[in-house]
Amino acid sequence: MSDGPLIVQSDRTVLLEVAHDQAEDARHELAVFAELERAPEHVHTYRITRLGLWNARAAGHTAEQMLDTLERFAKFPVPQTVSVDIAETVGRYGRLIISRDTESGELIITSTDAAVLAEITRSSKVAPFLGVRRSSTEWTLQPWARGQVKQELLKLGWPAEDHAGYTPGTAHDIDLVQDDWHLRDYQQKAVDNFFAGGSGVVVLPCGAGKTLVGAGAMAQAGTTTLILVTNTVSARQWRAELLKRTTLTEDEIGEYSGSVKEVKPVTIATYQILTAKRKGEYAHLALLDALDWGLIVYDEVHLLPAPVFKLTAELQARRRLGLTATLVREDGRESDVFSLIGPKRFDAPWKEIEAQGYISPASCYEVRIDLPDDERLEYAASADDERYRLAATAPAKLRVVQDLVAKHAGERILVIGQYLDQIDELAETLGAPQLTGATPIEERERLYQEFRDGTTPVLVVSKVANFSIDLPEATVAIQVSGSFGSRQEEAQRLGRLLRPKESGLPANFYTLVARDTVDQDFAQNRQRFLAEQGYAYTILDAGDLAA
Amino acid sequence: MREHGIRDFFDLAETLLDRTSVQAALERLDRGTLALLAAAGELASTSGAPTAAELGTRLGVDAVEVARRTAVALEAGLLAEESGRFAPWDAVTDQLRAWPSFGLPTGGELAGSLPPAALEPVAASDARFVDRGAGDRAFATLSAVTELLYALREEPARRLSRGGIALPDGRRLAAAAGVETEELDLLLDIAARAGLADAGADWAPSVAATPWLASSRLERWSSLARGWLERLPEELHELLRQRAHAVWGQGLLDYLAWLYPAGGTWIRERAQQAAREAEQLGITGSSTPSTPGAALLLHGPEAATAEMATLFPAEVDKVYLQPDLTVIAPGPLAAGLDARLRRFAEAETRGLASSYRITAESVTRALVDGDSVEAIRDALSAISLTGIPQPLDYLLADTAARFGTLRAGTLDGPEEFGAYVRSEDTALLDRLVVDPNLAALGLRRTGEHRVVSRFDIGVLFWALSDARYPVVAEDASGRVIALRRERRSGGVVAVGDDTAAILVQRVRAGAADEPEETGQAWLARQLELAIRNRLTVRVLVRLPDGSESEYLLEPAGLASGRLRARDRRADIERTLPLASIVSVQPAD
Repeated sequence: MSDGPLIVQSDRTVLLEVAHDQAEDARHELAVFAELERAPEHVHTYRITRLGLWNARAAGHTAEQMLDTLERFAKFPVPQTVSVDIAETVGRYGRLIISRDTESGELIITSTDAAVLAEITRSSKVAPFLGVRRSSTEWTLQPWARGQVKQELLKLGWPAEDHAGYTPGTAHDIDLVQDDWHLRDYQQKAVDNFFAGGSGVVVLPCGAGKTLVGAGAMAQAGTTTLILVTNTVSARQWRAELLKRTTLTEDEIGEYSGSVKEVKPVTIATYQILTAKRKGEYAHLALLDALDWGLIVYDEVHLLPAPVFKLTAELQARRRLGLTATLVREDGRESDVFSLIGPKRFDAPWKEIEAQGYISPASCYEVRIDLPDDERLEYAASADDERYRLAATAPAKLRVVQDLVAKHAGERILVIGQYLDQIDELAETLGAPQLTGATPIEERERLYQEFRDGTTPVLVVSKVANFSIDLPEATVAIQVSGSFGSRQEEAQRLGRLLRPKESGLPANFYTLVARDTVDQDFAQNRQRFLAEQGYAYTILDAGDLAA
Repeated sequence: MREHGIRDFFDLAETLLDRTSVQAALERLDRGTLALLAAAGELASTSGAPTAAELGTRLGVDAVEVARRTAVALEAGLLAEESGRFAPWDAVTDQLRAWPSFGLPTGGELAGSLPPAALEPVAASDARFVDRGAGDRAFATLSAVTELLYALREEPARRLSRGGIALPDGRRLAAAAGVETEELDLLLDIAARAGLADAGADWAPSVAATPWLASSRLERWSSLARGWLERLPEELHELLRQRAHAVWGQGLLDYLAWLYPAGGTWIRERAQQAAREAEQLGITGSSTPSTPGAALLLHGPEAATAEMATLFPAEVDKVYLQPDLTVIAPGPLAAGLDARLRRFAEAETRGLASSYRITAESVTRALVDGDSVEAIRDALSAISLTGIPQPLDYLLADTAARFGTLRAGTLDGPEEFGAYVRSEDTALLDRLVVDPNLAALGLRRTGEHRVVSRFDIGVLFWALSDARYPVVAEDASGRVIALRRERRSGGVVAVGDDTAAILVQRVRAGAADEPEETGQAWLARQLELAIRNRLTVRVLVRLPDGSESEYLLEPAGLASGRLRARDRRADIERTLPLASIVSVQPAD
């Protein structure tokens, strides 16, 4: 035991004292096998989970190394239950191996531990995927069952290593054009780790260049690639980025979405089109086999719709790359990501990348606004289901938005609202264009472009801004109203401001809150979330702001 | 033993002598005492009730051991003594004779067989492993019991008649203690054994819990360990002392199974319960006594505490205050600081490190208890490693500014009932009156600065508080008072598991309440026997004119103080008030 920066708790959480002089070293080693849960200013909380341990094992780390990290940096002795549990859990990974018979090409599952193989083959969940028993340590698997069997084995607590290989796909030359830029070290490392591991997920914060990691992986694979993204705007941004950063030309990149159906060596499709049904059947499944894809990229893998998991289970012979800012899914299906896309291959903590200067730090402000007596009376007299809207759209907020826009004159400002009439009013008062779900895609792209080049410094946007849109020039976001404080939504909003800033200006995220209303209750969750992410958080009174 | 339907001493006597009860009593006896009972029964039936010396000769044991065994058997009520001669009740002898047919030992086997193999000593390397795990568990259990008592102090937990805790309370307590609901019973037992929690209709902290919570970690562990030791069943005490440096495990259970041949689940459960608690308290680790555990068994709690001190992590006296309003103690926090923090913060997670969260509600609670924001700020500044972050400072200032904006009290004027709310903020009172969430309170404006409700202060206060209005309760003099949902029970109630003793106590208590009914109970008892066995009885009845008349009756039913019976002579059915029956005799 040292007087180190880590406190290992028996509930499998690990606290990191940030100010400790060994904190950086401990953080790097800990991040290999523990998930960062909260990173407020002074003490970060990590959690050791089974998936985290297996992710680490998949990346080549041993239980002894993980325990050594804990023991070396621990302030108090590591609880015995934790040590035993880590050794036992890690020991479960890789006891089962899925591979191909070199002669027959059949899919087989083997284990050096006959007891483990016997245990899992007795399971009624696994039985349907089994073929024939070749020996006490080897069974054949149904050729179509590679994905499903991995899912079930994970549920049984025996995650299998997948050594069954990938189809190379149709070769297609793709190179990065790095004339005036280069993959950053961590991006290159992410690409390298991915290829070393086979398939898997790269976790990087918004703005840390996940698209470039995708492009790097495509260049290294040199094969036809299917890229799955969350929506059409995002598809077009991928397209623009690939055209700019690689040797790919317009003829080589196709869009497969609600409006366009092109299949080209590199095809960008939306999750929505893939899961669209006609007469109860998925109508666009043919896309998955339209070309002999050698690489499938899943953008924002934490948003991957459930039906895509099912489709992905059947794509196990193709190399898969998941990109995301977080492995946490609001539906809790992290284990499906592990089984079907693959284990985590690279993970960089947000603040660490920030410290390297690639992302401007954002300051968060909660501005509390006193409602006038008549509005407070109206609010008090309203039923619960009307109160949120009343608080969120309080006219008193308008003046504060004007003050903030004036304060940040000359900067690129996003004003974010939830209600359309409020958005109308804001746009009119500020004399700024508005952008909602009803805005046609061409119009959206035009407005985004104007915002980027500075002709339109202020944009009033609805929830559409929460999607994966790249607006790196924004330095100020003012959230006037927003739906009920989902953590994912907050991460997305902040993501807008975390993108690298060419201007060098610091980013500011303001949330306007009507005092003593449900607005304030939601703000509490937001404060907790943002502070837990390590962002400076300050509460202001609207009066102070005007002063 | 059945517990239902025991209404009087007759029921009790009958129950105690039935086969199941005799067997239950025998199950609690050690092998030596059983051998003595078997020998005494055998001698009594052949050559007359034996003396102590004759028993000693028969069993091959000395006089002291015979005296011990006879004392145990007499205490159990299975042996009778008359003029220095001993004989068990016939039912006892019969039951022991029947034992071989249940797979239990004969009298000869009871006296003759040898105990199972010797003890398995602990290796030095194992001891280090055991101590490490034991220290972890002792610390974790201590934290869990501490949180459990705080949670019970906040609100007692309802105890179900069939045992266990009501589900909602169980979940609440488990969340507070950071354990699974299945672990609660064990933790509550540990707390109860140490006299810290009482199991009445509700589980609640005892008066001893308050000083315990204020004491140091080691003192707290010491009293839990002492509680375990003192409440250890006598039959286990010496046995475990002998095994202070040996593995308990299956060897202990085997020995107990030999020592209590009919003990079955009873002795096994007792031993396992004691072993489970010992494991939780770090007295053992992996079924082997830890160094503190061995010290406890051989030298007592003080020696054990000195050993446990080396296994507990050092305490800290500084904390981190974070912008997400959490307070993190980067190690076990000294009890005084923990108690101070709990006055104005909610305890969240406990472990080696612990976290608290400061909320508007927790600060308000402290202000009601007489704290001031300045005092809270001073307390935080004194222990913070990192100053006070802006959002926390804002929260303190904001809560203080809102504190007491609304003051609720009881209406006490003539012909007034209900409660009032007063405030200088008339606009706020306007809002109360129109708030649909408060409509059920029927708030009426009775002045510019006052609204009233017909409901009492408790209902009014909690309704406003739940609706997040800044309300405090005040007494008639305007002093702020705390309205808490807190209950606390009195002294420790002895918990026993001897059903017969409980029944005797219960019957005695019942008899003491209704002494005049004893005679009638006896009559009713005889009539019930007659009904059950379809017997004809002679019943003497006092008639309304004071004369008495005898009937030959076949009782059919007894309910609501009336006997329904067929009159064998008149061949009619009669219904007689029990109160008018003088006596009941068998017909023959």
